[in-house]
Amino acid sequence: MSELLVFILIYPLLFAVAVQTRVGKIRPYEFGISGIITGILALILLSITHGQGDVIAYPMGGWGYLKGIVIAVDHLSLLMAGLIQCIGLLTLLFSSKQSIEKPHIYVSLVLLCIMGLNGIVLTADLFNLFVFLELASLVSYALVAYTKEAEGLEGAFKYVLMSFGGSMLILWATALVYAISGSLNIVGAAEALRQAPHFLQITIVAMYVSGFSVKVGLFPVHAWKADAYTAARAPVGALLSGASSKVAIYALFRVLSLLFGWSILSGMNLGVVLATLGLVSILIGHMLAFGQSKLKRLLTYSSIAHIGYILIGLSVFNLLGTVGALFHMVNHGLLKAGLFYFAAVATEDDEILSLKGLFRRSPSLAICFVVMALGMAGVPPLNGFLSKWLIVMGAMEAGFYLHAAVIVIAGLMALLYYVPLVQLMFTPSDETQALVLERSQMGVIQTVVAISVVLFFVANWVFPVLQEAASNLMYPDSYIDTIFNLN
Amino acid sequence: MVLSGGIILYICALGTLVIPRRYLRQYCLLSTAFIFVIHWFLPQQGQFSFEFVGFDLELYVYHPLRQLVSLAFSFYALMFFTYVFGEQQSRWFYCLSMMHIAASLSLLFVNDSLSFFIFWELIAVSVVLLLLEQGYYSLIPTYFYYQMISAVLLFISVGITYSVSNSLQLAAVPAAYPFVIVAVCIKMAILPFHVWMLETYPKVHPTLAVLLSAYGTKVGAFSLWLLLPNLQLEIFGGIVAVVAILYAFKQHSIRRFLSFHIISQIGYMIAGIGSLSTTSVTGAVLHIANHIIYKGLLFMIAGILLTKFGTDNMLEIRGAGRRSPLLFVSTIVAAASIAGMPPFNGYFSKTLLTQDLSLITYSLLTMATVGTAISFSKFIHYTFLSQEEPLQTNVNLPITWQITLIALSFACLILGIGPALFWQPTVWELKPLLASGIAVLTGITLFKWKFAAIHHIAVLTTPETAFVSKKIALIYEEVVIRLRGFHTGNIQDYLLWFFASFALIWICIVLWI
Amino acid sequence: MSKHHYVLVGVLSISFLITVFAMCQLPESSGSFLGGEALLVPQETGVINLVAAVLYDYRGLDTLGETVVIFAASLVVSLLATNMPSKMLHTQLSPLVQYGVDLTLPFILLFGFYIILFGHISPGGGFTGGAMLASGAIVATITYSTTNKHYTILSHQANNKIEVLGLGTFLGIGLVGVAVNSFFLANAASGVSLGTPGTLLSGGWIPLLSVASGMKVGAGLSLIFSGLLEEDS
Repeated sequence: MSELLVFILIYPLLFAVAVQTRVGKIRPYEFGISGIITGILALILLSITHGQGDVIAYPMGGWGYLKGIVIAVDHLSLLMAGLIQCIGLLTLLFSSKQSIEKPHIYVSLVLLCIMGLNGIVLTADLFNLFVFLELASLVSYALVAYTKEAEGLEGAFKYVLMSFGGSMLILWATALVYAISGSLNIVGAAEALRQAPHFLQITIVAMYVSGFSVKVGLFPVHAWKADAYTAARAPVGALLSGASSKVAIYALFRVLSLLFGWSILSGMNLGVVLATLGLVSILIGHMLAFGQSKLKRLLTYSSIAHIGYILIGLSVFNLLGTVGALFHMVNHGLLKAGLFYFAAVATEDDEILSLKGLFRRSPSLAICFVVMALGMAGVPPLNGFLSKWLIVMGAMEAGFYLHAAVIVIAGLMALLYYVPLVQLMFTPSDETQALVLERSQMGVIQTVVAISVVLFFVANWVFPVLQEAASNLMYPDSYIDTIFNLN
Repeated sequence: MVLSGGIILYICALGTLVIPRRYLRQYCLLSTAFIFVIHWFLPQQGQFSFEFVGFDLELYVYHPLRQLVSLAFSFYALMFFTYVFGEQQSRWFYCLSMMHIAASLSLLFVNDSLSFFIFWELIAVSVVLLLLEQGYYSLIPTYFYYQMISAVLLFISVGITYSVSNSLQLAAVPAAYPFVIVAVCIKMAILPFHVWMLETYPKVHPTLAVLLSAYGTKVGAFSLWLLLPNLQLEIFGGIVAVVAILYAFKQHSIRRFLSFHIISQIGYMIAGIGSLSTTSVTGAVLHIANHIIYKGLLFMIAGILLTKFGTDNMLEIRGAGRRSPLLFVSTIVAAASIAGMPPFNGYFSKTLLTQDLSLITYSLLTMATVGTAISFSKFIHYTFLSQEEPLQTNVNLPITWQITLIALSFACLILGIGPALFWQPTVWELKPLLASGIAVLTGITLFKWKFAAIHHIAVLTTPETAFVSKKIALIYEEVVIRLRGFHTGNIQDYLLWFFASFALIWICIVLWI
Repeated sequence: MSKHHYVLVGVLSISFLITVFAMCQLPESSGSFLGGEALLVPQETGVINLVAAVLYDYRGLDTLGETVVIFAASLVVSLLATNMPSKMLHTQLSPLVQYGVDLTLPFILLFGFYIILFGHISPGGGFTGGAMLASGAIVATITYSTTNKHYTILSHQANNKIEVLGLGTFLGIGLVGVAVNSFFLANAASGVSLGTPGTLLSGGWIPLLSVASGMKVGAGLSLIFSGLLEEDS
């Protein structure tokens, strides 16, 4: 069934091309949505046929890992791919009722973005990863600038410049890897790279870290994110902060752990460096979100902080922390996407003050917000709490006491800006006209809320999946063996 | 496997969302009565434990003291739903108040820190949702922030305990003591962390205050026994009891006054639990149970006074004793209980509690008892006895209120006499009887004789403590504004940060090796 | 120069020094290139142009990715086309230019086609040839457009169709490999005859893939150009 891998990789392209060919004759949203549903079905089929602990590798053109490109999937990639398709599906469902000009192009761009992200997640080749990263980034710039207003163009411009810098470093690092090892495959390059001169290793690591951290939006290269996501349409913000930044984190850790292995990386104290970057991101994100007047900007700063949680969870490098971080990727992806959808419908002008009296105008929307905000702050019984718990316990186990304490306190800092919002929504205002939402939009938001509550209670069933994924990241032996065995 | 009573109540709480509107109140009564019966016949063997995300949760572990408090909790829940029987409340009110009770009940039986922490937060969250449902939006921040600070500290201590002992045991390791103590102190509203209590109990609807005053702080006192079983806190408890009384002297608003008395009574509990002797700990836990009953009674009285007389100021209500004899009698019973007059329940548990205490703590607690007597004399004197206004018609209480008042008063009496006769006859010796009698009488005499001077001393010695949190908030805001100054929106700056990040990471890694 | 600039220069030079320092440590020769395995391009792929072999055979997925990038870019341009009328159309070109273009345009296009079709036996390929075709189209547009009307060799719709057709062909050839139970984008492995390396009919699918990407690139670049010219409707 490994052909399914190819299908997952290229199905967005097929549907995007199809949407483009018959401009005007087909309804783009329905087409795109059915496309993503096919993709999800393929993913489900793949995970059913995918036996326990198996890694499926697929050599493109039958060339093996030395000459050609190999795409491979393990539990971790499957998890990420699932997250991408889910958020993509929710985003398209939600956007279908937003009046977005040129829907054909919009749907194609979203699909191409999903293709890029799928490619990053599936590929086992450094240059191929770069190509798909560029595809995803290019499409993201356009999606940010979609409104064509000055703000959007400015945000996109900053995004382009910063992201370009990041790509440059990633490409440079890839070139260095190729020069050292003569191989572009992550697994194939590993052996030569581990015997490379020390400073060369450090430089490559530093390039990958700072290159990917631009895409992730980590301190100190987080600043573009606020401008870009604020200017973007809210569903686009949901897609970017829900899926793109998570995929970039995935790429960073997958590349580093496969190229160098954790023993070399911990010899460089990379865990401490990354965890500290995450720590500063948490503090800065939560502090800047405090007192914002624009809802989307607030949400963006909050995502910067949550990226920090995930990074700490992955950097402590034990099973608890990694599982927590992966769980938090899922939780934060869904919740933040939900909050962006909320921002799209709750306010016209993105002003927080216009939220006043929302409870009277649309009670269920306000209640959804309360649940999502509590989930983001990590209050039980919601999924956000559980992943935070796992990350904190992982950090404590690994001796990252300060980082754990900061994550815990960050929950309080999050409440400092969410509680006034809730208060504002419940305070009566002059505007009393009921806010009527499209059924599908409300449905999307309610789905997110329902998932975030349910994920807490079914965590026991989700946990083994996350554990498999985490052990795939930490002990990639089967991944390496499968790719080696292709030749 | 045994299902914990709290979990059953949670399931019942979900039922309130589907039960027809007409039977909602009956349903609540029935389910709390059912829960009471469950806690009466708790199985002594058996566990409710399962693995959750890789951690072993134990939601039910039997211990007589746990059962004792749970009985008081569920009995009071029954009383509460009787009390609100005559009122029209929304469906969500019933659901959320049941969830509040359920969280408190569940917490009593857990034996691992993950589920303990979850219920610890759920108690606070249910209150926040109740405040939201009842429309007290302005009260939410203070309450929520304080509770979340408590939860954060508890989270940290749980983490430390986990990293040291590699288990989710409840008892904290010494390194975690500072965090646990502050966390529990906030939950118990110990001065100077009492601000959240004054922002909630005296300001909400009386019915809500009747519910809230019973559970939140008592859970904190009980968790002291769970979390810090090996820490001497005796004298601390004595000091808390006395200081809170000083604050209580100043108060004229009945519910603020009662709130400070909660803190003072918690001082007794801390002293008992912190003394680490078996008898005192038993007495203290018994005191928690008794306290729920008489303090609940007092809050109901305050609520009835506010509803019937339209004011919360004890100096403005006059002659309530004549107008409602039942109210008067139950106030006397409750006041006697809280002051520790024999033969009411407060006397029994306080005597048991003070048996093994050191002399300093004992004298501090005696001072607190005298103070309690003084301030309740003041309450009864102004509100019920003074008759400056012309006599007015009687106040008619609804039958449900009458039932709760009578039932709780009888509970005060029976719990004072019953267990003392059959279980601990030692409390009926001459020495404790005489001691508490003298203390209470001294209090009443002091009130009659020198109240103005006492009030003056209290005003002089109690500083306001709320300004600290405002100061912290200002500093935080200042930091945020500074930080925002760096984010100019200027792409040159951002690019500079980008290149700097690469250089910085490289240098960090190189220097670290 | 402000203080800000000094800091920027400082940081940039530190980063530069770091990378130069790292590059100095690169090993003299990559002895382990491709794991030491011999790269027998003509035998394996049937083409004698190494670049074409890498682009359309060994790393076909990358090429697919790149063509998708161009596809996305043309979408983005048609989305973000400016609202302002372009100045260039109203510039009067001297007749000399027009005659020159008249004379050279067929050769430009012919050379483009040649480069695409002979990509597997001589330097060139779909990307280069496609870019050449697009430059021919661009030159024609610039030269022959009048104030009122854009001149285009192919209409917008035709370009669009060619672009999609190119992409579709690429994908289709890729899927042939899957269909014959080999691999996606497989060449020799899919059972196609490689022919004699060095002749026109050699290299299995490679010439076809080259043509497909040439169509894609040529049409895509023309679309980008015309998208930039067009006023937003």
